[in-house]
Amino acid sequence: MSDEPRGGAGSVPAVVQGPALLEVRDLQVSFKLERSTIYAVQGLSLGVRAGERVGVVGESGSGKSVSALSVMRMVPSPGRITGGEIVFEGRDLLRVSQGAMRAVRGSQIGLIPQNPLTSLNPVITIESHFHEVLSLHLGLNKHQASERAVDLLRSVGIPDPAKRVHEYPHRLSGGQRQRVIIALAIACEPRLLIADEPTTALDVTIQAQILELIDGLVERLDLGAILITHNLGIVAGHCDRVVVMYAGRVMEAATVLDLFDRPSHPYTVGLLRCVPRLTATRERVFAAIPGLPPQVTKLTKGCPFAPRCERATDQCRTETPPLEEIAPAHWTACWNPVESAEKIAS
Amino acid sequence: MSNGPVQAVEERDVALPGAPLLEVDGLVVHYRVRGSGKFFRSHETVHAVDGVSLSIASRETLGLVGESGCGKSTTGRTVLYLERPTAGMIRFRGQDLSKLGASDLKALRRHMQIVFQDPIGALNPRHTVGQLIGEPLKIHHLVPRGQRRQRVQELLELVGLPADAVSRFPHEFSGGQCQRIAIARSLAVEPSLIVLDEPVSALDVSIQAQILQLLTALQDRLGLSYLFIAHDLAVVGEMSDRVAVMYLGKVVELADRDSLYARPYHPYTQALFSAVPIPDPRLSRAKRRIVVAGEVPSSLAPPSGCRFRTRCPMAQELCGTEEPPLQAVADGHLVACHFAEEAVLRDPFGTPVTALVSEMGRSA
Repeated sequence: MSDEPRGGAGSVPAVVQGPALLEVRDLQVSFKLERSTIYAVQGLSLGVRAGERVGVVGESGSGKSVSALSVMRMVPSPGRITGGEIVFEGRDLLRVSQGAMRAVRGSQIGLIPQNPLTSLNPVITIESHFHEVLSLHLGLNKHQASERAVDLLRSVGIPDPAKRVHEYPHRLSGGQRQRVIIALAIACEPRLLIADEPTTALDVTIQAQILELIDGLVERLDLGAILITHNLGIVAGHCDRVVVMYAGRVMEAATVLDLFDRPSHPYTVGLLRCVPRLTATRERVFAAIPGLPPQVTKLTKGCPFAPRCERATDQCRTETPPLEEIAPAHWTACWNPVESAEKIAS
Repeated sequence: MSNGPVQAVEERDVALPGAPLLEVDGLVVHYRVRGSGKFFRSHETVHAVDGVSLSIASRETLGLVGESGCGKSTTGRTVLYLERPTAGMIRFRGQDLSKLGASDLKALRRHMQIVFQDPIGALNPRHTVGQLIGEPLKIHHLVPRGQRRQRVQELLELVGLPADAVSRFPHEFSGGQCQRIAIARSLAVEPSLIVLDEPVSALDVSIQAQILQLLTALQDRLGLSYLFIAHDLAVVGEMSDRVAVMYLGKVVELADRDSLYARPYHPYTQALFSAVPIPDPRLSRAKRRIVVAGEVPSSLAPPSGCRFRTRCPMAQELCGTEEPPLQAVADGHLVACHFAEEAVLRDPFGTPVTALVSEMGRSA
C-alpha cells in the first residue's frame, strides 16, 4: 500500500500544469418550485486540469453537489441549468444532444456518488453492474466484461475479486461498496472523476483508505478530479486547488496552500476557525460563525455572507462583490478581504 | 426563575458527596438474531457491547469514541436502561438500575436524559415546540399547568432560541435549531446526566461549533455531567475530561483527555488518530501516515483474544489466545494491549498529530 502523499513526505503541494480538461464558466442552476425559485448555483466558474484535484467546499445548501451534477447534466427535476458554459475537452456539454451526453456520462466523466449503500442496484450482482457499463460504453461481450471487472476490482483493492464479483451488493461492507463504485466510475477510463462527498458515510479509517485510493488513481491515470466535500481536513490533504462556495456563489478560489496560509474571504476565515482540530491539550473553545446560511429564493444584490460577516459594510449589503484575482491564481469575492497580517488568530 | 435549573443544581450536589454519578461495571449487551440454515434455524449473537466498565463523576464529561458498530451508541442507550443489558451493573447516584421497578426507574430517568444524532427525526413533527418542551414537564409533574408556558420560555432562552418559537413546528427550524430544541427538551426535567449521542455529526461545521459552545456553557452553568458519544476525535477532544476508545464492543483505551491525545498507547487508538484528516496542507503532507488496512470484523463472531489483532501490525500469537486486560500504563491511563509499551515506541501508525502540532509550534 502506498502511503506517501504525492510528491513524497515533507513536500508542499505543487501547482498542477497539465492541459485544461474542464472549464465551467458562469454556471447558473435554479429549481423552480410551486411558489418560489431556489437559485442553487449563481455564476460558478471553475477549471480542472489533467492530474489535478480540485476541491469544492461548502456547507449544506451551498450548491456544491448541484454544481457537480450539472457537469454531468444530471440536475434532478425541477432543477434546470439556466446559463453558463461547461466546456469539457473543448466541447460545450450544455450544447450537445442527450444521446451524445449519455456517451460522455460514465465513460469520459466518472461519478462517485455520496452514498455507497444506496448507489448500487441491490437485485443484481456486482458483475452485472460492470456488464452494463462495459457493454454500453466499450461494447465488450460478457466474457470480456467479466474479466475486466475482476481486474478493476483488484485495482481498487477488493480482496479475492474473482469470487466477490459474483456477489450481491448487500454482501459487501460500506467501504467495499464504495470501492466497487469507484471501480465502476473508472471502468471506461474516464478523463475526469467527480467525487461527491465520497467518504461522508464511511468511518475515518475507511475514509483514509478510500481517499488514498482516489489519490492513487488520479496520479496513475492522470485524471482530473473534482472532490466535493464539507471537510476542510480532506481538502488540505487531498486537493491541489480549492473553490469555497456559499449560497450558490464562489467566495474564494485558490491553491490549497494559499487558501490555508492566506485566506482572504471572511467566510473562509470563519470556516477555517470552526474546523475542529486535534490539539495536544484541551482548549474547550469553539469558534462559530453566528447565524445561519441563507435559503436563496431571491436574486438579491449584495454579498450573501454579509448578514453573518463581522466586516460587512453598507457596500456589502447593496452591491454583489465580483470574483477578483487578488494574487496570482487566488480569487476572492469580497469588498473587504482579510489582509494577510490579520490571519486566523486561532 | 423560581424553578430555574440553576437552583436545582445545589441540592443535587448535596445528595451526592464524592461518589461517581454513574458507574457501569462489566456491561454486556448481546442481541440474538436469526442465523442461516434452511430447516433448523440457528441463532447467532451480535456482541454489541462486551464487558464495558466506565464511571462518570458529577460535572464531568466522558467522551466515547469509536467507529460505527463499536457499540458506543448501544452503551449510551443501555446506561439509561432504554435497552436491557445482558449482564453487568449500572449504578446511577448509587442505585442499581436493575433492582428498580418501572415506576422508580421512570422517576430516576428524570435525572438522566439523552440527545440524539438526528435532531429532526427526534422531534415529533406534529407537535409545536411548546408542546415538545412542555411534554417532559407534564410527564414528571414538575410544573403546574399555569406556569408551564413560562418555564418553556425560560428553557428556550437558555438554549438561545427566540421566545416566539413556542408556537412553531420543528420543520420551520434548521438542523442546528432543532438540536437546540432537543437540548431544551432534555433540560426541561433538570437532569444531572445527559447522554449526547453524536449530537453534532449531522450539522455543518459552523453550526456544530454553535451547539458545542451551547453544551459547554450549559454544563458550566447547570453543573451537568455528559456522556459524549461521537466518532470525531477532534470534537470529543475539545468536549471531554476523559475519553474512552471503543472497538468491537470493548473499551481498548480509557484515559484523561490530555494524556490520551498526547500519547495514545493502543495501536487502534493510534490508527484512529492517524486517519483523522488534518486541516493543514503542510502538516498533513509532512506527516508519516500509515493507513490501517482492512475493516472491522463482524460482531457476530468477534476475533478471539484481542479484537483488533486482525488489523494490528504488531499482533503476535499471544494476542490471539489471550484477551488483554484493561491495565494502567500511567496515572489514570488504562490500555487493553499486551504490547502497549512497545506500541508507543514502535509507533506503527505514525506520530500522532497532536505531537507534531506542539513540535511545530515550538520550532515556529
